[in-house]
Amino acid sequence: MSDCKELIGNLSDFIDGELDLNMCQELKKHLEGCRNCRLVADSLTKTVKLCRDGVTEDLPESLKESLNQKLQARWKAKFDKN
Amino acid sequence: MNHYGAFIIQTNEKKLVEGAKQGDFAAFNRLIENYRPRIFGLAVKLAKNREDAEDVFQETFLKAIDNIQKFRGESSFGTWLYTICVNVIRNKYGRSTGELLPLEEYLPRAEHGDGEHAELFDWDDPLSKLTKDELKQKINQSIMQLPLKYRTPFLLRYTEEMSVADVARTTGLTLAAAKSRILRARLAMRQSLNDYFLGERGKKNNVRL
Repeated sequence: MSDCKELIGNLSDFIDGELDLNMCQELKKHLEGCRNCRLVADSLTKTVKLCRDGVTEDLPESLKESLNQKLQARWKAKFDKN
Repeated sequence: MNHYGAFIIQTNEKKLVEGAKQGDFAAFNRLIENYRPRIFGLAVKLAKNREDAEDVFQETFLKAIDNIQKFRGESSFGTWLYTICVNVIRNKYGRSTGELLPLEEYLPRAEHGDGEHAELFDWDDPLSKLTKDELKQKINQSIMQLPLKYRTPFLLRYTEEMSVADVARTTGLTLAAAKSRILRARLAMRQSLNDYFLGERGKKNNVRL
């Protein structure tokens, strides 16, 4: 494969380890010779890592409590009439 | 986790589901325990504002109670909960109409080979200069800019770590459509962060780009 445009559709699968063996070897070969595609691959890897690490939201205690009360009431309404 | 570990979890989940179906509230609570923070995190990123996110979060578990008898174990309980959450969002906002660019538009306009390209650089340099808060704000902003129909599969795949098959099941998309949306969202996210880092590089080096 010599065209970077053909590569982009497979790059994500390659990074996620989901590309079949033949394509994988072809892509590896391409990456060895193409600095720009290596940079794209590296930044695609980092994109996912940043999203995983950087955007956690803590569940507030008050919301947890409010949910518990609503769940109990709904449970009672559902199962007490049976 | 090995197969035996996965088997134990599945067996345990099955027992808890059976208990919940018969009215055991403690069993239901154990089933949802680990998913509460996860569903909340997802709801915050799918909803338009905090108030909606809290509604979606609570509605997801209330609907799980309403429909527990319909859960047949065709997917894991977690996947089923995510499906409810995605449907609650869809019912609230309707069909997502936003679009992303075609795939080729996300390919940096780069010459093939080893030549330097202004839009392509090692992210380690800007990453080392940004504070955690600056970065978090930018990542959140970029995620929220993704149209919902791309944001949902992207988050399910990469922050909730689902398989593509489960993403397809959860969103009601075909496998090919789920795959394509995940890829385009990932490329759009990369582009958005890359543009930001490019700007930051210029600022910090006092170079006008």
